[in-house]
Amino acid sequence: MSTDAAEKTAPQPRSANNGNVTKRLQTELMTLMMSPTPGISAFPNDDLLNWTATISGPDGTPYANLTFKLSFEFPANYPYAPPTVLFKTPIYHPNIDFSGRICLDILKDKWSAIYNVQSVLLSLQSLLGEPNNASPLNGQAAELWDKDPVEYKKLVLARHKDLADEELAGL
Amino acid sequence: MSAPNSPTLGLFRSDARPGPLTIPPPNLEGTATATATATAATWSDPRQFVVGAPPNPPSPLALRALTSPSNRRATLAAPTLPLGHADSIRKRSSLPADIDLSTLDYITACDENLICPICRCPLDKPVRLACDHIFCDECLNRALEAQRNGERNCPSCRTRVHGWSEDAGKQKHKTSIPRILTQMLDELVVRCPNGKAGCKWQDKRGEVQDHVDRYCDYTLLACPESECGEVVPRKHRGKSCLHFHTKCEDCEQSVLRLDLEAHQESECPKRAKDCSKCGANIPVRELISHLSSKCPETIVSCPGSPYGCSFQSPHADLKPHTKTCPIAAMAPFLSAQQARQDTQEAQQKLLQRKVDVLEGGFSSIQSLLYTSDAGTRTPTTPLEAMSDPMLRSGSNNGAASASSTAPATENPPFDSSTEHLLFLHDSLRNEISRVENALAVLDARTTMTLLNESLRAKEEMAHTNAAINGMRMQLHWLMSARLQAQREQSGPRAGPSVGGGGAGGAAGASAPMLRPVRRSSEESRQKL
Repeated sequence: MSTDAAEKTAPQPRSANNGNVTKRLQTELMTLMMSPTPGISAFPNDDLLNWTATISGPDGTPYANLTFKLSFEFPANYPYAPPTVLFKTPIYHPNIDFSGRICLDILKDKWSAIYNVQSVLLSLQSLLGEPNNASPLNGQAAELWDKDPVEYKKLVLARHKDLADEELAGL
Repeated sequence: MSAPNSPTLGLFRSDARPGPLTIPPPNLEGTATATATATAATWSDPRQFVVGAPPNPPSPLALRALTSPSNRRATLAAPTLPLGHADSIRKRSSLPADIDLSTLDYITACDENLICPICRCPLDKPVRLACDHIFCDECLNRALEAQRNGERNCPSCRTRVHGWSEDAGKQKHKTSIPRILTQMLDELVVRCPNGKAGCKWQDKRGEVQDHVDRYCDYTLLACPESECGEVVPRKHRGKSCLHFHTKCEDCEQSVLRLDLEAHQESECPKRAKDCSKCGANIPVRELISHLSSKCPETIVSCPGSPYGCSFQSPHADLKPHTKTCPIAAMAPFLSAQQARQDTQEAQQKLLQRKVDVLEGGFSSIQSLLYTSDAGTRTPTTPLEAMSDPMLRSGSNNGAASASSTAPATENPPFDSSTEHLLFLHDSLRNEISRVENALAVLDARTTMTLLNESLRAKEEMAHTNAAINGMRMQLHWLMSARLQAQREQSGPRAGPSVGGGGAGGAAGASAPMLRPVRRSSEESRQKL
């Protein structure tokens, strides 16, 4: 893989791993740009360690046709430690609380260094359609998921609508 | 030293620094067969490898280095030198440590399978786990180190890793890498890591360490004066210590002797050079900008080039062209238009977004309306109720026309929700007027029936009245006849005071004398 954007730095001591973080994030960004995956996108903010990403709700789920914004914050020892991922769009989901925190094992103790932005986004997208109702952050949602899909969808739309209103107010 | 670079995992360990020689020597096959039994265990101890293997002939590169008179250090790096010697050279010449291969600039595209899944770079000193997943040695160590709860699992498949230790010398989790893999990796073409300093070298990755350590003119080495302690690029190392200040002969500025050439080449404000194209004498500082834009011989394109003029000529000849070129004349106007168009497009995008958001809200309202309407619509909409019989009768005449209109009434094709609301309003108004009419009709009917009924009752009442009257007349007549007869009987015998006693006994005695007629009529009624 040719990395045109790579820094032509002189050999560095191994301990300087901050370069490795940016290098790896640059590679990930390049991959996301060159071969985009439908339904997900991500781009760094001012700083390469903070990204904003979007995922669209998978078809056939209550989240179909909705778009969700997320924030990524990468630690200095990424990819050996997981990034901090938050939902910025209000979302009604059994494993996501109202401030956007996500309960997903691969973002916690099951993190592996081979995961990247794309795989995390794909995992979150599939989490939307297949919530883990055994350990919910939002108990009501977990209960409604099986019991009353119509009501569930209504709540999802109501929660998501907040954003549309916000955007309208912001324009 | 002379060992091939393929068993890198042992040789490149931090406690045993590799020799600068990293190119695969020609006797690779021979080494391979000779040390076929030398597995990972052997590789983990390079000393044993060197001692156990027959002395290898030097590689062509090493031979070249050996015969090169310019490099006096090459004699030191003879192929049979003990491993530790490279370290001492490195220390003395302050050579950079191992090149971090992941920071290199790769020119050839690398196969996806040769990329470490952790650092996303071509594998550097690859190691293989028992589960057959391959990573860079360092990446794997750091990933395993970072795992919590003391568990050591493969980053790819989470298979338990046995034999890992933080001490690189005690690690037993690695298995051997196919040689073809390391060869493919070493054949990737990279740029010299000193590229920023000016080195143009690019070649196979396997040779980059050798290049930097031995040949690259831009590698920083210790100053030949041992007391100096500064570093100097290799190309200046042949001279004596250059770390002293001197004066530039043109601008009289104090410059480090080492940087003097660079200063004179591009920085000195006094020094001038002849332009290679037009021959004018230009200060070196401005040479680059002169060449790119001002030099009359530089080929430039017409100002109208973004709008279609393909004219290109040296700077000097451009003026006559721009005077005649219509596109060049239009260029300022066109660029202003372009700028205006850009701003408008941006505004339009903003508006489009606004419209999208509004439309989204609107469609949600619409869907809300339709869903609440669907359950109640069929029975209440009078238009439909009215049109249904019409359709039914129409279907008898022409089935085709009925089938074509039926779906239209089932699902009215409204363009907007306003239209839908207007339609609803109209239908409701119709319904109200219909109810009003029906109410009026009902009212009239009830009044009529009421009137009819009461008339009959009145007639009957008149009949009974008449009958009663008749009976009264009869009674009167009978009573008067009877009274007359009584009067005629009692007139001669007693006075009128005993008339009542004759009729009713005791009662007649206490009864007043004033109402004889009435009493008798009561009696007669009782008889009746």
